[in-house]
Order: sequence, then C-alpha cells, then structure tokens
Amino acid sequence: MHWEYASYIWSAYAAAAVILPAVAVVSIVRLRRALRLQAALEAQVDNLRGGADEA
Amino acid sequence: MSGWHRFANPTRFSRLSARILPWALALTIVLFAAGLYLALVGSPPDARQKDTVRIMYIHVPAAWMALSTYVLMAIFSGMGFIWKHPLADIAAKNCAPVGAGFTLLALITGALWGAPMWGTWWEWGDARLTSFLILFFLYLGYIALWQVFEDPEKAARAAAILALVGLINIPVIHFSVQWWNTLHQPASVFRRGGPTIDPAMLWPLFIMLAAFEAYFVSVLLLRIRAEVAEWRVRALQMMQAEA
Repeated sequence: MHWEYASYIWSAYAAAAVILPAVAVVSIVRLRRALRLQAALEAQVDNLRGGADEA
Repeated sequence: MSGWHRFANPTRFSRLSARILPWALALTIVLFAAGLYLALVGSPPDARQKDTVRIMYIHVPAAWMALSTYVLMAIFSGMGFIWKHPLADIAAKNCAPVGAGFTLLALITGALWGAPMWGTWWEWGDARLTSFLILFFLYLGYIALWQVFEDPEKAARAAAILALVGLINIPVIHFSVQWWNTLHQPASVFRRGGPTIDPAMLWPLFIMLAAFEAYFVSVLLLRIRAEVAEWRVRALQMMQAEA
C-alpha cells in the first residue's frame, strides 16, 4: 500500500500487534496453569478423603 | 444493588464467565478483523493528516479504553472497599495490567502520529500528553502496591485508596484540551453538537472501539477466572497440609 508516512503507520499497528496479544497470552497461560493445578489438587484431596473414609 | 452482590460469589462468577468467554473471544476476533480491514483498506485518507489518520483507529480506542478501564478499576476498588467483596478487589486488581497496556499503546501510537504531524514525538508542556503519562504511572503504582503487601486485604485497601485518589486525573485528562493550550486537538467525537468526523472514518473508529471493548471483557474474564482458580489452589494446598 502506497501510504504517506507508511513507516509510522506500520509501527503503530506493530505496537498494537505486540501489546494486546501479549496481555491476552499471559492471561490465557495463567488461567490454564491455575486450572490444571486446581484439578490435580482436587484429585489429590479426594484421594486423601477417600483414604480417610476407608480407614 | 442486590443484583450485583449475586455475582460476588466466585463459584457463580466462574460458571457464568466460562459461558460468556467463548462468545466474547469470538466477538473480539470478528470485530478486529472488520475494524482492521476498514481502518487499513476501506477508509479514505484525511485531507490534512493524509494516511496518518489510520493511526487514529488504534490510538483513539486505546486512549478511550485506558480512561474507561481506570474508571471501572476505581468503581471495583470502591465496591471492594465499602462492601469487602473479594471478587470486586480481584476485578479491580486485574483491570490494572490491561489498562496499563491500553495506556502504553495510546502513548506509543500518539508519539508515532505526533512525529510526522506535529514535528515532535513528545511535548512536556502539553497538558494532555503529560496527564496521560501520569495515568500510566498511576496504573504502574497500583500494580506495584498489590505486590508490596503480603496480606491481600491490606494490599486491596492500599491499592483501592490509590485508585480512588487517582480518579481526579481522569477529568484533568478529558478537559485538558479545553482548560489549557495544547498541541493535542479538542474532542471530535463525543462533543456537544455531535461528531465532526466524516462517517467514512467514524464507523471504522466505532468498530475498532467495539473490538477493544470485546478484547477488554475477554481478557478481564480470563484474568479473574485465573485469580479465582489460584485462590482455590491455595485453599486446597492448605487442606492438604492439614490432612
């Protein structure tokens, strides 16, 4: 595209393409890690409870 | 107000947000695709700004979102402060990094527009520019306060006070172009007498604003869900330790 001041325009869109996805990806990774850990711990606590009931 | 209190239950919130999230993410992608097409291809260059007007389709929504996110963060902080709802504190806490991202983007894109149009990247004497930079520092200060205190209740209270005191900066930013002589142009969309922008540029701007809003809702829901899950993890670890 033959825009005047193209380098400024592309730089602005590049900044958006870095900042917005970066915040989203960090949030997604954090959620996935927390949910995985939560599921693992819930299974462990259920096992402990089951063991205590049997005992 | 009782309607709001219903959503302060973390379990109910997690269930509801899990249902909303896929729609919000899909809406974000669709709106960004349409908005970017209109901003880069479907809209004409401006008579004075030439093609640099295309920077406005990022800069203006980022700046609006930076301000509205701060107001929302202060409202959540106030709710947490008054009613001691942990979910309101979590919501406020997780608004801050997203708002800081919007503010940083508005500052960068503003400088990238200012360089060819004003002949300068930055002007310290400009009230709009400096008050917006203060907003960025307020966000950083708010994020830092949450890290300083080990006790989450103390951290929430200190951060809420900063958020509420910093609210004074919002009207300063908004009215700075009227109160002082600034390089920054006055309001051209939300003003008495209606927008001064041609519809060919106004619609791409509104669609990009909607895309930024949908993005904000998606990321905020993701972050709150993550924080609620982390709380649950800590509670489970304590249960394990006690067993």
